[in-house]
Amino acid sequence: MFVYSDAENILNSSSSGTLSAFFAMLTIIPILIAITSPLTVKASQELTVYRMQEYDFQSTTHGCRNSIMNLEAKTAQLVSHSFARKCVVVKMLHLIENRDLFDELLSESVAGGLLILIPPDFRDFTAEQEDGFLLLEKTLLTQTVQIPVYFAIETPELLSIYDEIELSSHGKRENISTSEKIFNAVVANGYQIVVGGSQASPIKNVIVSSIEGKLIGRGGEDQNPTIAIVAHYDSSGSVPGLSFGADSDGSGIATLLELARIFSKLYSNPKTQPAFNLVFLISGAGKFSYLGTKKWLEDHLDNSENTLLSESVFTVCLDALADVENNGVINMHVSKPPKENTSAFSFYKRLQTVGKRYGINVTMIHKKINLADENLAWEHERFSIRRLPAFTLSTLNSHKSLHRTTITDTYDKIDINSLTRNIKILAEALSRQLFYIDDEKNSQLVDSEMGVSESFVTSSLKLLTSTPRAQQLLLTTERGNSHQLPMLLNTLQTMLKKYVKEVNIYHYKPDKREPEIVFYEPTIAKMNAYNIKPAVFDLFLSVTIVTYFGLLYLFLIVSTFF
Amino acid sequence: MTFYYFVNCVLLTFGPLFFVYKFTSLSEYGSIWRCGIALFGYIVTQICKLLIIATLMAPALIWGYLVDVIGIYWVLIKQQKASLSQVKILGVAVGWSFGESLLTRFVDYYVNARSMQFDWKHMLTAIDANLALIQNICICCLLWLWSRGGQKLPVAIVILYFIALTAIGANLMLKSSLVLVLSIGTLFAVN
Repeated sequence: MFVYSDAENILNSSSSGTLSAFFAMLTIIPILIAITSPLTVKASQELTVYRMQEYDFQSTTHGCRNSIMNLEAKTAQLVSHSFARKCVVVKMLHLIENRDLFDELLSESVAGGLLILIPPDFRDFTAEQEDGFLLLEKTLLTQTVQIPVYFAIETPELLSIYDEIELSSHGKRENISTSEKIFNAVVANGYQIVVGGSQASPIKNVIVSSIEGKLIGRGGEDQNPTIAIVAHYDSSGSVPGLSFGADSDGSGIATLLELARIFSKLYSNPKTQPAFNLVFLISGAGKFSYLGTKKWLEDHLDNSENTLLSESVFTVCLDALADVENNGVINMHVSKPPKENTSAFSFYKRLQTVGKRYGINVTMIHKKINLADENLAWEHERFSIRRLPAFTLSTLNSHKSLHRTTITDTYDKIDINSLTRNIKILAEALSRQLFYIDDEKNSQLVDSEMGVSESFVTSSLKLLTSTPRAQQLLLTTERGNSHQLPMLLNTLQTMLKKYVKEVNIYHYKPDKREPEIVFYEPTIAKMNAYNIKPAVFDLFLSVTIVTYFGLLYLFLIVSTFF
Repeated sequence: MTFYYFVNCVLLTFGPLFFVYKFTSLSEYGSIWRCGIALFGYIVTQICKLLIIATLMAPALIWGYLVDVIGIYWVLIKQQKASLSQVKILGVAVGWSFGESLLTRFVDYYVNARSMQFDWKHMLTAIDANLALIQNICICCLLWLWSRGGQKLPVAIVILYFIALTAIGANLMLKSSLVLVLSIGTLFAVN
């Protein structure tokens, strides 16, 4: 008891009442804090977003002309609502179901920016939804859009942001009392969508490379006619950063590599070396009127020293052989039907013979070259223009098929079995052509160790679809006098070199003054989604703090009276 | 409006310090110099703490608190000129809290609270500053009682408090209840 009274005395000597009251009141603050629940803390989100494609082709502009965005996010719940100075965040499926909304968002400058969330897997789409999506993409590929349009793959974080934005815009719609409105404004979580960096600008020094590999026939290059096998490596879609092009034309490149692998064995043995040169061309800019092929042809035909194509039997172009449309056919697309006594016609007959054994119809589809079109329809047309016999093999019935230019064309869509079967038919028909076999029976040439390897096709297709292959992402850079191929092309070159001895690279550069093609950066960007609060919230916070100060002041004043 | 948020945070952190200085006997006795010494003491203590952590490799939180308590004790008992006990206690607590807020919280506000990203973290830090002020006043009071009375209760409360604080970690809810217990304990010790 003594000790306490002692302490009391000490405090009493210096107006201890003040202190005790002070502490008594201080206890209120922790209570206040304890009853207010702590709110969840969210950090800023950095996301990878893919910009809608942008390019100029034949001096026509395509795609989205803007790349910078610093706007508040809103969901497109109200079509009539104006989204000026707002970034509309919308789900792909929502857009497919509401085409009008999509057209409105793009055509008029309703929104300040657009962020489209696409599902991580297109396999979940129904056939109807996929058709709708393909049509959307067609619009995106043809239109010129002034606002920045970005695509992001749905992630749990992104979806939670979406839900939050939707919730806040939902609350504003209903007729609610003023106090509720204020409460909503205070608790609302807004998001500011920011994509920084520099404004979209043309990529300088565009170089598109094509890889050529040669298997020389018996007796040397000059002594033999040439069969060329061509496929383009680039893919196309409304979003370059998401264009994996598994079928068009990943399947073509995989077929080409597999053929190179099989026939290199035949060519390596002098006893089985055919009397044909076999040329493999992995061409660039295939989705842009086959400019890479054009350059390659110019280099070969307009150069008198180069005799490779002086005697061309025919050229096989490969495009979309994995049969994503389930047509169950192989189509031979020609610009001019080959005459009956030509090699091209006999190859067609051989394809039919072999195809019959696998239950596959090989048909010929004739389409005249339309030079007025912006894009050439098929790759063989580049050869036909130069009067070289050529045709394109594809499972697609028409060059207008939207499956050739879509971001849904991913590895998951590919049926490896039908692709392998088609390669088998092609390889066998080609081997029959090389050795003039017209037997109805199985030639047995492309079998067992010479056979088509499904695992090889799978792995090369996986390699090709592991990265987006839009042309603007696969440009060659020039360092001094040497050219630096992009990673994927380097790999393809190495692969081809393994089977084919002579590998050359051809570089295509657009004209300096009037470029046929202009690509724009960026294609892949970093987007930040900042959690923001409305100004009302800050005001509310200030009022709360001032109230707290008022209470503190009162308590300090009161405590001095004790 | 991110700058506004920064202002709010700063207001909530430093406002109570100003109020406690202005509307208690502190201002009457012109104790700014007293607070200045406590601020200086805080800096010296933190440097010593870091030196000890760096040399002895004892990063346990409880040792950090021990150094803090010794620092407060040293400033409170050894460095203060004769005055009212109330002025001494509040002066040291306010100076110490000001140093703490200025050197740890203010920089964080300046760098992060002004960014576009809204984060409750800064508001919670500001609330934590208020708790720290109460805690410092209580600790100063208990230490002062202990130095004068020679009794065991105040120092026992201080030790128990810091052990509990180490145990709960960085949970603001628990910390606020703990500070509540501390202030009740101080009240009990004072009377």
